Amino acid sequence: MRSSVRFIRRGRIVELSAAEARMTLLDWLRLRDAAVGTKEGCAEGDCGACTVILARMKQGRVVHEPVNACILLAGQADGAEVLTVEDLSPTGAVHHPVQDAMLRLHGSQCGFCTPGIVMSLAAMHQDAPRPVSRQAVCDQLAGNLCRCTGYRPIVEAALEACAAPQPEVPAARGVALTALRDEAAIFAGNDAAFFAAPRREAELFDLLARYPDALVVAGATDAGLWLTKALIAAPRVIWLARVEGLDRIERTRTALSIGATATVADAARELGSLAPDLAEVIRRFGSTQVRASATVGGNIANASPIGDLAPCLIALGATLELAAGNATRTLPLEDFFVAYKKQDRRPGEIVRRISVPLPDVAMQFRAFKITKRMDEDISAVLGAFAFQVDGRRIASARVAFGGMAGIPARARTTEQRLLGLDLDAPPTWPPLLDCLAAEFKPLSDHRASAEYRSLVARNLLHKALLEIAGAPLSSTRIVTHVEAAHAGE
Amino acid sequence: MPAAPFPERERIDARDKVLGATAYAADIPLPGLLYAMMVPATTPKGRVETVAVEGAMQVRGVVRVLTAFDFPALPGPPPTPATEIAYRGQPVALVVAETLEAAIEGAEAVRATYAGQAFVPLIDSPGAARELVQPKKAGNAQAAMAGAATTIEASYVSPAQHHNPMEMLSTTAVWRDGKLTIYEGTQSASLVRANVAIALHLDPAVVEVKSAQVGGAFGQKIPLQRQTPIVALAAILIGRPVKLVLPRAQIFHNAVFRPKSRHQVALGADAGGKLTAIRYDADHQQSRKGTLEPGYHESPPRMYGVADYDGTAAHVRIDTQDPGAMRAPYPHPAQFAFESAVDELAHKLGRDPVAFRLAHQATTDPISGNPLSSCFLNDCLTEGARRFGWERRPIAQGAMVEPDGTLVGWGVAAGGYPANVSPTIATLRVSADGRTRFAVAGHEMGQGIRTVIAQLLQRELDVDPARLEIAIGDTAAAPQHTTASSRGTVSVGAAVTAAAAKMRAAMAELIGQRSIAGNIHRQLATVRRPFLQVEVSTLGPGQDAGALDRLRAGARAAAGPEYPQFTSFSYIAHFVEVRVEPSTRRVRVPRVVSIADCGRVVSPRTAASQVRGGVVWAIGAALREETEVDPRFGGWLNADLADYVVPVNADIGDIDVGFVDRPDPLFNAVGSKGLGEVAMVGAAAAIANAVFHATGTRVRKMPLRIEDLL
Repeated sequence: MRSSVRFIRRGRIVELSAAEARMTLLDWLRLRDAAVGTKEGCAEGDCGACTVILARMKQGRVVHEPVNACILLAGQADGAEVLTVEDLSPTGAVHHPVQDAMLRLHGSQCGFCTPGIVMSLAAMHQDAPRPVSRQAVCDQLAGNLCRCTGYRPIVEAALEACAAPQPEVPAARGVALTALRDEAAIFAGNDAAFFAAPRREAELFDLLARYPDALVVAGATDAGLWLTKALIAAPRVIWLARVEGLDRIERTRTALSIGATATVADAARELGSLAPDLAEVIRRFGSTQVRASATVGGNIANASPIGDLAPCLIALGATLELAAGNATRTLPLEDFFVAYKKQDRRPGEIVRRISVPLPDVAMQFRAFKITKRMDEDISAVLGAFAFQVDGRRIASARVAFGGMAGIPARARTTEQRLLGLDLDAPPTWPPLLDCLAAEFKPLSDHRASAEYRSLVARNLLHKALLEIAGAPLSSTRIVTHVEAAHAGE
Repeated sequence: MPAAPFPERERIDARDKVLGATAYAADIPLPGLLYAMMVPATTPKGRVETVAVEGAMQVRGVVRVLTAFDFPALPGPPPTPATEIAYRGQPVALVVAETLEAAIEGAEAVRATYAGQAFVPLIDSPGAARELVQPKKAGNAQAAMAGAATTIEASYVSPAQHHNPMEMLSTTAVWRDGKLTIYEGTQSASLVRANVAIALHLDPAVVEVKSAQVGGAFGQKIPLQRQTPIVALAAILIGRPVKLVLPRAQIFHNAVFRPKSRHQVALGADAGGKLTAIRYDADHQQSRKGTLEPGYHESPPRMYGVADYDGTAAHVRIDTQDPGAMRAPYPHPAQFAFESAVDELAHKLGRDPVAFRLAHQATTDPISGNPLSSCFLNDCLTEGARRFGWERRPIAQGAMVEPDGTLVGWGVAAGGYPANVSPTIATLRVSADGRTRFAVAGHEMGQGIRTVIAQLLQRELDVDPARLEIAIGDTAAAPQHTTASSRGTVSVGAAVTAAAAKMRAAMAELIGQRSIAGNIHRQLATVRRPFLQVEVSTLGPGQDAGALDRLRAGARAAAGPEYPQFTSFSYIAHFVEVRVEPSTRRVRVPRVVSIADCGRVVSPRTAASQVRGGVVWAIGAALREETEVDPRFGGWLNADLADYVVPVNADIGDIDVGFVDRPDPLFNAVGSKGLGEVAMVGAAAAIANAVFHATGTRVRKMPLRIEDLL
């Protein structure tokens, strides 16, 4: 058992007390470490001004993940090296290629977002395989807002910096990170106030039983907001990421199984391989920084009414495994969501893993995320559709929506009506499409009106059917304007 | 004689910015620093009856809690915690503690009770009070309209918006040896100094305000910020430095914002298709005691040389915080309405919207009767049309459809913005050891004013750019104007020109007939003179010395756009392509061409960046940004960056920027007008006009929502 959190900062091992471990990493950097180059712009993981890099050992190599320090607890840096903007060119002369390109290509105006942008791009510069495409740069920048420049010079700077070969990771970093590794559970603090990171499930269940009111966090990309925005007091924090095996991603012959603490970034490749549209939803899920911290289990367990992954996984027929002590139970994912922000999770129970059946060749999956802006935006509506096609008829249908009700929900009546639908007879579809309207009573809010949501939900189902019926993608989708604008390059 | 074109140069502050070494107000390390958190009112209108601070005082680390009862009583509403609550989120108390965590916990523990009152949340709610201001008229628009062969009339709406610069509002106050020093991001250091002195009954001479680097402002940081005197008083009472960084939601509720505005525009054209009459009635959302004028008649009369103009404007007073200026405060909403209406008229006349505008070259300001100092709008339109490929545009709507059903539309609109100038008081010191220090008014908030000053100085004098200190944003260095309304470059341009001339004269006197080699530092060293220092003051056209007194006092000192002999405006033309997705009606803006007439361009690199940023602002305004009021409770609904959606990188396509770069012959010696504001003006209308061209649907309110196009 270890009684402090440890990470590497500027060549030294830092040990944090329980109180420090529960601060946000941003506050720790600015207030305790006097590293004020990292900025606070929103305190909710939207603007990216606080982006820092966590370097960690993963599967035997060092990875550099950009994270939002404003909603990450300092304790979550345990086992990592924390790199900030000041560390890239420590002599004070600009020598990091990203900083150099940002300087020469005028990627900075007021400069407040610049440290975060530099760190996002530095992570990419270090880890991204070459060549780095414009689209990859745009994806990397999705979580960084700039209010001055109009972004273009920043994209150019990133492309120029990443045109050079991928640099070697300093050998000392891997050595230091390996040396820091241990198998200990962490309990920093006392009964009244602590930061705990159990190593085994049994230890986790003990903690949950003893401290039922503790705040349980995985990536903290949502729970972090409760601390920074709702300003809740959370003296007892249990962090799940060190629980052995809970982050395991496994593929059997029939299913993809994702441990609850696997990050969205780590699960992205396997999940995305199930269906191209799921890969696209994940590309637009939060931002690079959010995906590096957020977990698949957390996204499910928090039961957001939108939650992007949930409707997709419901349509794919995923099941959820819950555990409390030795007792486990499995239920269809859709049954987990009971009502707005209310889940079928019993006291002391955790979401252990989620299992997604591998789609067979007759299965057709479509998912569409509708937002106001292209990136980093909460969906107004997310529609996910999985159809088994037999000949030219729908043999089974699973239709799920986010943003249409207080929970991610299936359209069960519509699913029934779709059975036997003739893909070659579009004129017979409208009554079936209309049936959706009776199944949902969406809200009007600033993201979209109820009427718009209903109409778009219907159109998305229509679009999915058209595509499955064989309509060319060029008639149902447009290339992103980023691609269009740079098609000639 | 106007200056020749300026070369492209690197920003002089970019190096520190990419290194993370630039210190903003909240980054300044101070020994013994205390942290503060504000307690916002939880009622939209009423009176504070009690504030219980005991709970907060019991939190370990809390040092003091300030409430309205700690502040000097003043006639009128003080900018401090008050017992009268005028809007939800108004400060009720300030908790000061040894740590930020304790300050937050303490703020949560403060309990206030209120006697609530009925409130008016929206401009169309019952109880909203309409208050007309002086109309703006020229000629006889009524007669001209009556005689018009073709008329159109329509109403347009611009929403409430918040600036959301990336830097949060913050104040750090230090009280030491009877002197108050305030570090904060502001566009108006001298104004802050004057108003803090008034609020706290201090002699302005003991107050200094330092705002060396501002992380974006866009108008939000023009007025005295609500928290500043509160934090200052806390520092004075406790005797230790105090820092407050407002959470973003509190900024939404206490900073100024762009008020919602409504615009009724009628245009008349004669039988020859010439625009002859303009009637334009505007009103905007206003607080009960706010002073932001509904000044929407700045740009429309100065665009197209129409002699007959009839404009009215009004406040609509409701229960909200004070609105304020946000980037292009009047011309952006006004030109959205006016340039949409011009497009509607051109359409009704069957005219190409570029050709229609080109036929209306303005030379005179109908309001003052004076000539315009310069107007190269037609050059902007011609060059923009060429670069955009406008000649390939079909005149009919919905005529450009991609194979996938995407509707493509091309739109144009123009903008104008007053050319303003502030008086300046500046000090230039050149030293034999190679250093140069120039102290003048200005605040660096991203626009690149330090780079502009360096650019101008290096043209005038052979000084060493590596050892050049530009002291701005500091009341201790020079009286600070409000850096806004695109007056920065023009104002410092005058100061640099004057200071350099005086320095050259002083050098000539010092050196006499001798011929000495080397740059100015070298020459000083040779004659064994440690340094030379000159002080200058400059005035805008037609200003007298009273303007310098106002500048020193932190009062409004700027002039423009109407000067004794002429009126001066900057202009711009925007060409926009929109793409409307067939199944969802999402609107994308893949391509924009913007050509500006800002007179002589002093810093080509920062100028192009200003225009790109301005266009991005217009894309945000046209398609995304609106702060929505919750009419049940007052206050703002989407008070964070997750739900106040500013454009992200993926929203932005190609923005091609060009400049006419012809010097203005009358306004000043450099030949510059202004740029940062005009950059945005008209671009939102160009988007709406392009959407009309794509879909045939005319949307007359911002933001254009997908719902509007279904």
